[in-house]
Amino acid sequence: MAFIDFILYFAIFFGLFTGIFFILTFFENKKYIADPKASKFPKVSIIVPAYNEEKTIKKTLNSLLNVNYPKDKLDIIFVDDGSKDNTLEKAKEYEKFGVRIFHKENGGKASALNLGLEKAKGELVAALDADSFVSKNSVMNMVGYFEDSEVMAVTPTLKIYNPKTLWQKIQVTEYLFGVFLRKVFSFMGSLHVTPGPLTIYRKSFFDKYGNYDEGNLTEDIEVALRIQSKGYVIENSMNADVYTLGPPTFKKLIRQRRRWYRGFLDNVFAYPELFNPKHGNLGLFILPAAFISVIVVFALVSYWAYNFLSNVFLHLITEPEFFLIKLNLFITNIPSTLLTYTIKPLIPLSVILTLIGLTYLLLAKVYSNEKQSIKIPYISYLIFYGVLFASWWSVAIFSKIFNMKIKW
Amino acid sequence: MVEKLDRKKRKKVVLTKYIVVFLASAFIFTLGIILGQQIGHMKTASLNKVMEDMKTDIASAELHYILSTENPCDLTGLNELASELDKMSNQIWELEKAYGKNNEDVLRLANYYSTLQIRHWILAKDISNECDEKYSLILFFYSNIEGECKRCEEQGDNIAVLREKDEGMYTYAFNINLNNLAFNTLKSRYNVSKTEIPVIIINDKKYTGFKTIKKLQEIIYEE
Repeated sequence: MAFIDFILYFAIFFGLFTGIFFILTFFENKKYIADPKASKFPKVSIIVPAYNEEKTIKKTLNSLLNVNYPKDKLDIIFVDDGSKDNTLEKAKEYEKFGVRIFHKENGGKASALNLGLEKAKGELVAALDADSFVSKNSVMNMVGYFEDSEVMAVTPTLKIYNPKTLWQKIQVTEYLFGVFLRKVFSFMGSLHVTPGPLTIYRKSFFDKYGNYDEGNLTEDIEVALRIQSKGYVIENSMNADVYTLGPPTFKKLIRQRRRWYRGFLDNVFAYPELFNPKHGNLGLFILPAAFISVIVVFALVSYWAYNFLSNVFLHLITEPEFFLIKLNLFITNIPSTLLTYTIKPLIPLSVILTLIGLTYLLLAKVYSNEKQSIKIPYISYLIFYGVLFASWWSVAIFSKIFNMKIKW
Repeated sequence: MVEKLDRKKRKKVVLTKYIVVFLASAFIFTLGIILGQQIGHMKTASLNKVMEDMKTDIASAELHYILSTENPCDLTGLNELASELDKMSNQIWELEKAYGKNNEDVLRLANYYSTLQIRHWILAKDISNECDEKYSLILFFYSNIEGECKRCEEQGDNIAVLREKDEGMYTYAFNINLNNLAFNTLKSRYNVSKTEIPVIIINDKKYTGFKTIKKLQEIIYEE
C-alpha cells in the first residue's frame, strides 16, 4: 500500500472514530443541552473593543441595548482603540443610553480589552467584537451557568451574519459545525477556545490570574487555555446566538485564518502541559486530534495538489505548442476520472463520513434553532473546505516555522 | 431546580467509552471496505461481460473481412471496434487506479484486453496490406510500475495527443508486465524488453526511448 493510501485510510478511520465519539457524547448528555435558568442576575460588563469599525458599531451597540437582561445589571463599555475613522464619534451617540465610552492610543485588541477590564464593574465580564451582534436572549441564557462556581467562562452560539458570497456560505457550515462541536467539547470538559464575539467570563479569574495577554494574536484562545490549565470549567450555550460578519473574500478569509491558526499554534506551544491525559479528554484526545487532523488534511491536499500541478506543469514545459490539445484531452477525461471515484473501494466509507458531517449539522441546526437552509452551504463546504483548510493551515504553519510576524 | 452536575468530572477520560467507540469504528470501517470491494467485483464482472461481447464482435469483423466479397475494405467496423477498445481501456485504467495494479480481477481483465488489442491489430494489419489502406499502426509498450519507466505516462499522453490530431492511425498500448501467450509472442516478435521502455513500434519499425510529439510526427510523416 502506498504511503498516501495509508494516510487516506487512517484519515477515514480517524474521521469515523471522532464522528462516532462526538455524536455519542452529544446524545449521552442530551438532557444537559438546555441552559440552566438563572436564579440571580449578577452584573455583567460587556466590553466592546473597536478599531475602525464605523460600519458596524451602531448595529453592535444597538443589539446590546436590546438585550433582555435587567438594565441596571448591564454595564456596556466601549473602548476605541485609536480608530482612524468615525467609530468613536458614532459610539459617542450612545453615551446617552448609558454606554460608557473610553478612548486610547492604538495598542491592539487585547490592550483595549484590558482597559475595559480595569473599568468593568460587573461580577461577570464579556467581550464582544465590534463586528458582531448579539441576540436578545443571549446574555440571559448564558449567566445561569455561572451559578456553578467552577465555571469560569461561557461561550455563545456563533453564527455568520447575512452570508452573501460563496466564502461566507462555506463559513455558515463551518460555524454550524462549530456550534455542534463546542457543545460536545463542553460535555467533555474540553473547550479550548472562548470566541471574541460574546464569551462571558467570571471577572475574578482575570483578577487572580492576570488580564488579557497583550501582543497575543488570539487572546481568546490564550484565556481559554489558561482557564483549562488551572483546572476550571468552560461551558457553552446552544441558545445564545451571536452573529458575526464572515470575511467576504478569499483573501480576507485567509488573512483572518492565518492569524487564528498561527495564534492557536503559538498558544498551544505556550501551554504544552495541556497535552497530557492528566487534563482528561482535552489532553488525551481533543488537542492531539486537532493536530492530527491538520497534519492529515495537509498531507492529503498537498499530495493531490502536487500531482495535479506537476501534471499541468509537465504538459506546459514539454512541447507547449501542444498544450491546448493536451488540455482538451484532460478536460474530456474528467468524467472518466470522476467515474474512477465512484468505483473507489472507499466510496461507502466516504458516504458514511458525509452522513456523519450532515448529522453534526442537523443536530446543530435543530438544537440552536437555526432557520437558514444548509443545503448550498454544505455542498460548497464539501467541495471547497479541504483545500481552504489546507491552505490556511499551511500559511499558519509556514509563518510559525519561519517565525514570521503576523499583523492583525 | 437545576440538576447538580459535577462539571469537572466531565473532563475525566472514560476508557471504556474510548474502547467501545474504537471497536464500533473498526466494525464500520471493515464493513465499508468489504462493501467497497464488492462494488469492485460487480464492476469487473460487468466489464468481463462487455469483453466477451467484444470478442464476438472482433471475430465477426474478421469473418466479415474474410467472407465479404462486396466491401471487404470497409473500415467502419474496424473504427467502431477501435473506439470500443478505447472505452474499455479507460475502464480498466480506472479499475487499476481504484483497486491496484496487482488485483487479480484487474490483471485478468488487462490480459484479456491485451489479446483483444492484438486481434484488432492483426485485423487492421491485414486490411491495410490487402486493401491498400493508408493508416499507421502504433504499438506502445509501457510499464505502470513505479520506478520502471519514468516517462511512460508522458509518452502515453503524447501518443494520445497525436491520435487526437490525426485520424489515420490505430494505437495499441501494452503493459510490459502482462504475461499471456499472445502478448509474449508479440513481445518476442519485436524483441521488446523491459529495459528499453518506453518502446514504440510504428508500422513494424521499433523505436526505443522517449519521443516527443514532434519526433513522433516526423517518424510517421517519413513513413
